[in-house]
Amino acid sequence: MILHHIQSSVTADNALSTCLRYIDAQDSILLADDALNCLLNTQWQQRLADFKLYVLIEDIEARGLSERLPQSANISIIDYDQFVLATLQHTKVITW
Amino acid sequence: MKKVCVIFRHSPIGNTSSREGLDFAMLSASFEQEVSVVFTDEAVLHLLPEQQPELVGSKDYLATFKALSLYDIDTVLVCQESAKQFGLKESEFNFEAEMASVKQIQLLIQQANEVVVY
Amino acid sequence: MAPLQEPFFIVMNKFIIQVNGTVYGSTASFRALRFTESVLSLGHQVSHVFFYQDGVMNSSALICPASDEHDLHRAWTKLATEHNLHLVNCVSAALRRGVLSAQDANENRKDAFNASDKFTMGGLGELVTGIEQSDRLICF
Repeated sequence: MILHHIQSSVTADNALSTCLRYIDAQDSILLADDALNCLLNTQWQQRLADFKLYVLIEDIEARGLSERLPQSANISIIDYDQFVLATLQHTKVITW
Repeated sequence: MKKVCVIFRHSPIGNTSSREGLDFAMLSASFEQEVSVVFTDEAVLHLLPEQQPELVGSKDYLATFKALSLYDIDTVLVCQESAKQFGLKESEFNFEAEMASVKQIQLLIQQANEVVVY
Repeated sequence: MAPLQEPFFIVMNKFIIQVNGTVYGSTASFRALRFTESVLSLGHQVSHVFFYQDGVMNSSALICPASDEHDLHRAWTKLATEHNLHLVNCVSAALRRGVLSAQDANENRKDAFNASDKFTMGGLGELVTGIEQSDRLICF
């Protein structure tokens, strides 16, 4: 069970697409920084629908996205303490 | 000793990510870690012969990839899907590497203790 | 603070943090700093913070943001002082980018140096042994 750490926008970098090529169904994804913007796009929401996703609350609030992110059961909004916990709950972290 | 998988996903020329990733891979191997290497996305272009990075002001670090086996880095996989995208055939590879399916690369990633991406 | 799950609260884990993002123009280093703060506040250990690639720019003592901007260099040195945190630069990555310690400047016959003494110049070997000895490697 791996935590995949994406920290760039899907429009600038294919880190997330590459991650999705190799991801296992049980893995999770942390969409940090501009990576989280893809959640505003329905096509990306669908591509990511089967994975457990984490998003940092500071990243969301910094971007004024609190009311705009989809209310979806697979998305967990976390703080940095929970980010640390998530790294320990997974066997390793891959930063793409 | 840890199993360390180093994934290259950026093009060889035009950025220094791979050069610094290669330094890391070789140093890890010389510190007795079990290192494997994967080329995916545009990084499959590392395998192309006849590159001359010095023409655009880069160091010719590509030659160093030929030394991976001297550092006991025996698992060197190239993503078949990416190679196909860039029109690259296994017969053209300029250093020892093996074309691999997504499944093979997934397995390597899962078995590694750490995976770093450059 | 977020509710902690007991098994993780009792077990102390060792982290190594790798910072590849530069000091200005990317938020990677800021997020690495926030993550490191949380690791320490939860009672875990940080073997060291290793600055590689453009991350070495965080060690420049000449970083001078305007007074209303966040000073990441200062934030790292402050955290290091408060927690006795080991900040390590990859020396070759630093030299290539014009980040030099006093000793590097002397050895390379340069007139000035800029790396803050809170950052140690080290080799990639420190990253490799740090990874080997830590429970988790987190890159930013």
